Amino acid sequence: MLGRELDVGEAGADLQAALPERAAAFVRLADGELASMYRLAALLLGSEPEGQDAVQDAAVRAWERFDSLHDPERFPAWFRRILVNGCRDRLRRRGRVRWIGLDPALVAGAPDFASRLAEHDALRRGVGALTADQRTVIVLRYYADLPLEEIARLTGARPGTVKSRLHHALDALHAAYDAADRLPVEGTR
Amino acid sequence: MNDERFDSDLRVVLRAMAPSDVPPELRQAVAEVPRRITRPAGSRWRRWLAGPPSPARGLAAFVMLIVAALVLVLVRPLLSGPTTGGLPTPRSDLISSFVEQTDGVFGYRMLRPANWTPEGAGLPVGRGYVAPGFQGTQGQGLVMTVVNLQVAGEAAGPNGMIAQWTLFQQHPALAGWTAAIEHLWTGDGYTFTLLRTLPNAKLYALTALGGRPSPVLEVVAFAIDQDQPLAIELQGSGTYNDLATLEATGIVDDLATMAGSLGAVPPDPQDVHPALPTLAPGASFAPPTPAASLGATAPATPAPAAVRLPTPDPNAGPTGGSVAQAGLFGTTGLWVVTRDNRLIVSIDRGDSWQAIGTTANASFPETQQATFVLDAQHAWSVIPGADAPGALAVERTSDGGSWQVASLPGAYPGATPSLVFLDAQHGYLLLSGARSTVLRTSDGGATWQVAGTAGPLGAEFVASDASTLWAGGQGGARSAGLPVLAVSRDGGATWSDVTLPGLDGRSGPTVFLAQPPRVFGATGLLQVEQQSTVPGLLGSVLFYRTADGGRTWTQTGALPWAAQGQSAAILDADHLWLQAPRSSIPATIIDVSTDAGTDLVQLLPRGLPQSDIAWLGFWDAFHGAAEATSGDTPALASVYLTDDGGATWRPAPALP
Repeated sequence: MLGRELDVGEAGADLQAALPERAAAFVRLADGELASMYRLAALLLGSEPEGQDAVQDAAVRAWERFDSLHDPERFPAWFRRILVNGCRDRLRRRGRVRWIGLDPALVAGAPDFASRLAEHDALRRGVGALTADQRTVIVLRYYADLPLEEIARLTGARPGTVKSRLHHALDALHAAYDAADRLPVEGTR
Repeated sequence: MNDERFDSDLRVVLRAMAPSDVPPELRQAVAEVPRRITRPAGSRWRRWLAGPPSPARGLAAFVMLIVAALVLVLVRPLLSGPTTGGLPTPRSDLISSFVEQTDGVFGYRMLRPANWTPEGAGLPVGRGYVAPGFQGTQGQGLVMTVVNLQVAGEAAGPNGMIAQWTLFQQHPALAGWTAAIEHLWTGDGYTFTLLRTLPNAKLYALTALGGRPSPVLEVVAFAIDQDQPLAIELQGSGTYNDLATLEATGIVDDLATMAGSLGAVPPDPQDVHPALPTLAPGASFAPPTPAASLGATAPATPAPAAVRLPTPDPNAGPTGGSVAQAGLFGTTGLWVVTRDNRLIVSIDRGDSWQAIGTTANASFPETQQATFVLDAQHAWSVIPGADAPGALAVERTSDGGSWQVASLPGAYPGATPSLVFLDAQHGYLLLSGARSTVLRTSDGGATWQVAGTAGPLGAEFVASDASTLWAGGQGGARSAGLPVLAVSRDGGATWSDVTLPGLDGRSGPTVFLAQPPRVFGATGLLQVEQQSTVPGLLGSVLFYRTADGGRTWTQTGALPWAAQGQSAAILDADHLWLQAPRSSIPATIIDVSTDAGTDLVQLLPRGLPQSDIAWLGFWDAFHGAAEATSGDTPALASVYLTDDGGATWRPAPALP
């Protein structure tokens, strides 16, 4: 009894035989997407550690369903959908808490820019103050550069809803941006 | 306004906000996924192998090998020695003799007290043994739970909330693991003592939480066998809620004997000898009847409550459209806003529905989450204003069908709106943000005036009478001066922080108030969540009660190991329901209290999907509603109803 392996039973033996090349393919594909996926998750969640968690969860889910992916070309979009859904679940889980975007890593830790410092700072703070849904749509649109239809598909919302969220989020960011714009800042035109 | 420059600046800022480099430990963890998840078709229990990210995962794997070798070399002879010859003699009178128990249901073997009653169900994650003469944790006695934390971790899945298991994956040797647990306890405010150190195990006593003596003394043993973490938790109540007494009776020595014998066996429900009460498929924890759980007498449910994972009900499931928000009104009213922005109400506790806001397309944007329903005729919702960025408007109906829009004075970019109405005419609107504004109306929402402004206020907003307003949210060191709870007693003109004893709202650990307090005249109840000081681990939910209209609050109880994102319903100053993801229990559990959170009874709700409950509300002690999501993505949220205080649930009729 003490010697029995918990990990791979007899039934797993044949799977093991086919594993190495599938595993190698998965690791290669996942590794190629890792940087962009990690940045996306950290931005969506507003937290680097939570972004790590989300990517790792997504990798596990992706590996479990890897056999359903027949075209490796589709891996990036497929992996991204799994990741965004996972991030959405995380956001939803904390949705009732009305997260207030004051993560110091995001507000204070970003590199400075020589020019337009005030506007950039206002945007950083503005993004931090968006609601979870607004933040999601802004990041997917302006960071991941996804079309509205794709964002709607990823987030399970109607395109009209995505549009109104985006509109509202941009309004808030614009207001912060324009307020900063009016300040005399060295280096602007 | 320079849109092009704005667009490019926004892209620049987002790119700058994104982290630049992938942490090496993440890269390594992802590369290890195929090796750790050995079955691509993916049974859930294998996901633990991937584990949460650990900064030292590579080192951990190495340490695990060393530990495995050490355990095999050192511990096995120690274990097999005494147990194959004569069994040790118990010191305590409470234990007649030891018996060698193998329990494949929960994945452990040990010397267990022969005369203690095995709990057929136990916790879903472990086996309970009840000492003779046990009268419940409110009374007198000893009860013990044995857990293989790896088996429990498998059951909990990748998002499992078992903190001890999470810590073990990061620190897979006894010294590191227990040090991490001690660190966690310290951060959570537990008072504990190390009682014994054995080659394979450590024994601790937890005597207090937050300086308050615990109603139950917990003696916990942590052991490692075959690279698997195991634990025995002994709870003493009554005269046994005293460490000196426990030591004097010899029970701590006996627990050390048991911990020394603790080992892991592969999960196999057939591998139980000597035979123990079986877990019949579909058998379920019998929840306390509402009369028992909500009555005046303290419930006699032993703790750990006898709960087990139910078989998912294939018939239970989402009905109709997906729900975005839900709430109660009046004595039997229920409203929901669907994902496609329809406001639907029920005036008969969810038995039938009527849509009262189906026409206005953008009326109820999910992002705003500010809807107030007074009754089936009167409802209000905050919507984006047309004029300027940050402008808002309030849409209202007074006949349950036709809607009018009123613009709000001013612009509030980035503010989170929250609405309350006292009656059909008088209401308040809080726009919370770095600068917060309170607006009021006395004509049913047609016109709004500024009632007051304040600094940062939380967005959980409620009025307890015509001029007393409460606003709560996030507090603690990371929240930049936000008060966890503030009150205005002059209709929003001036605000002051509310002091919650034991919580340093401005500089301590992060505190969340996930729902506003409920104050009923003089008495009131609130619950807050205090995050763990260890990142990624679970915090506690704390309960506070007031008897002077909210001027002073006294902590009544706490639920340790509760994850963020819980839902709670407060019926009055005594009755509350709480659903929180928990460390030790992978199932959906609803805690019920009839004494303001001092004592919590665990209900294992039947008929609810095994998922988070996004919202929970009760009209009275028996009738309630919940918004629960099914596990699919994107999640479908549906309304479920209960008539027995939360024990059994049924899906509400399909939304129109």
